[in-house]
Amino acid sequence: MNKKWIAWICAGILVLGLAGRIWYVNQNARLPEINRVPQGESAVWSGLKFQITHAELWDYEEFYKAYDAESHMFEGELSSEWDAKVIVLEFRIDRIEEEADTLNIVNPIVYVHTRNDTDTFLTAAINPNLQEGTFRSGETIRIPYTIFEFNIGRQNWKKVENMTMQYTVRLGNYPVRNEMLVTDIEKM
Amino acid sequence: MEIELTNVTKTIKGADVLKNITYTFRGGCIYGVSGKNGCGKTMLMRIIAGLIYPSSGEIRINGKRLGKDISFPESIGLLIENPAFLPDYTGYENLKLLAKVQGGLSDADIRGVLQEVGLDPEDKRKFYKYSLGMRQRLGIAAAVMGRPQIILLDEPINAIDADGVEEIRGIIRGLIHEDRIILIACHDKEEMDYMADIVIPMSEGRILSETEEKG
Amino acid sequence: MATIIAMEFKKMMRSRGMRAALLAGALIVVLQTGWSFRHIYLENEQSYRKIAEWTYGDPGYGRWFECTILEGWLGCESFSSYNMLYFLILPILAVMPYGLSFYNEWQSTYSAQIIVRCGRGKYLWAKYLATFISGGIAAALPLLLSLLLSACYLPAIPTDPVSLQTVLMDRSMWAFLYFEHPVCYALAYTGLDFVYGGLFACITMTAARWLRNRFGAAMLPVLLHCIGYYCIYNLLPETESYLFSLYLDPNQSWGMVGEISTGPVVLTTVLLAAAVTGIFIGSNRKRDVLTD
Repeated sequence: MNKKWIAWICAGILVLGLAGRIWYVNQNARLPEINRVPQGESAVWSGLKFQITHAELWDYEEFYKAYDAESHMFEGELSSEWDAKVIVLEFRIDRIEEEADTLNIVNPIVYVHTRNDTDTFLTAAINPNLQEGTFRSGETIRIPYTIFEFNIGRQNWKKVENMTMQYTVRLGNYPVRNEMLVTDIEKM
Repeated sequence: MEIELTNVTKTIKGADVLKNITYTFRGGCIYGVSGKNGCGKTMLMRIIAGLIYPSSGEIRINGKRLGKDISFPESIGLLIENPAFLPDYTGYENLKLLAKVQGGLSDADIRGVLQEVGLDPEDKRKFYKYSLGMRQRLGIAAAVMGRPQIILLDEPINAIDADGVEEIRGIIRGLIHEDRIILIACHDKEEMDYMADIVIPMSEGRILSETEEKG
Repeated sequence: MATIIAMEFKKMMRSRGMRAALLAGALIVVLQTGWSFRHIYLENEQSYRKIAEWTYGDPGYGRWFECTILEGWLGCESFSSYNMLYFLILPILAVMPYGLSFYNEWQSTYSAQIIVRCGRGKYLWAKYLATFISGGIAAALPLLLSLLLSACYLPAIPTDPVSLQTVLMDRSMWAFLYFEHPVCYALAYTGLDFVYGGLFACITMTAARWLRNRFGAAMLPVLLHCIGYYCIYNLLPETESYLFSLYLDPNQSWGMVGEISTGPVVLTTVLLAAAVTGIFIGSNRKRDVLTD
């Protein structure tokens, strides 16, 4: 058997080895179990039960005026080139397990491939029961998320404006990924 | 086989390197172009090979206008200035590459022409390790391989030893054919008179008449 | 034509510059893969082993993500300096194999030997094609090697935007591919870098004639790259989609440069290719074969 054949056989073994390894890695990828929760239904995570009871979409400045939270508005946050909106989700939160912390509510919203967290100071400002420390299991709170056109581009922004954008709130990522769907949004 | 130059002038950066050249070369003999350095011998060869374009005038090869009917002579071999080849290839590999482009040459032809000029086809040395004489021989081999119809050799015996000069003379004389034009440039007058059947004297870009040459 | 093209390709693949460029690229890839394996993959594996210890109060509770292939890929891995290094020297790598071949052959008059055997037009086009391909190979092969090595330990799964593993935003070019089909994104970008590698080599080949300085000609693409990145973008940020310095890197400057979009990128590429090709072929078509 000459050198050329040996080289081809070695190359073949290498290719098969690589292909096998790549196949193995992809077959054994540790993906989370995905749990999609329609709006109105509840999901349990971290000892708490979450339910989205209402959703509103505001123009950026209108939101701060409506909730009397202009002091939380950063000057110059918006440029003349890019737009922003605020989506406010009303959550009912119930404690299921004793050791769970009902203030563990910082869950990101995801739309297209962008995630946003909330501003915790702003959240406290628009929820008197948080500010006053009277929030209890079974009550509702409003969590605002600012959506920037700059993050998602002009094409995707059209979906936001014509109310066809799909939003989900993420509760946990591994081993179970809870995706709370936000489908019924009131335009303010 | 005929090469006809009519009022060929070439100007480079304002200087006339060839001035009003009118001459006809015919197959069956060796032409020698003599003259001092810078008289235009190499430029004449380049213009015949189609490597440079005349500023005015016309060159016809077998009736076809160079630069219009044909862009380069259909069958030509040349050795101009220092022979240039790919430094990381052996002599054989270099000729093989050129032969592939040229077409119609077998491995045996390449080996044959290398042996003819006194080089070993099995030599594994790369071109950059060749001596000046070996490079010159390889250049001649490239020019004559395939026995082209036009052969232009600029200073073919440069750097060749005495025995080699005889070999080269023999090769060149062996190429004489009615369908072949051989043009040699050489600064050595004795060599020129020995090799060439017709000597064309040049000076300052012009072909001298007999009177001018004697004067 | 096929013969002369094949000859040029053979010369190109055999050149010392090609070996050096591929070696340099491979070295960067191997070092970067080692770094990623240690600092990204193994760190993530360590976190994975702690999942069982999570409690509700733990800040890490529910926050583990499988690493994706693009996190280990040279084109998108931005934590180490290898990505920045590779794309800074990419123009040099592209020029190394064959960028100065035409200049050298012309100066030595080797080109005369080819021209008289096949004609000027065929020689120019074959040389252009070989130079383009050589630059493309030098630019793209390390990226492909990196992708292959990453695939050996990282799965090709979509990138989770919540994970903070991403380097792009939704408004970045080909963001859909990046998030949903990472391998396609990597291959598409490798293709783009292949084209620009080829163009860099051809820019050097074209410019060498006028610059008459081999080092200067070889550095010209690097200079253009740096001028675009450090100078033009800062003065005229609205030109981002037209500056190849910004979109050559698959991490697209971590998605921070405005809105690079496919249309202007394609337009710029086509115009640049047309200009380089036109100048090279046009300026050499009737050029005297003389030593400059």
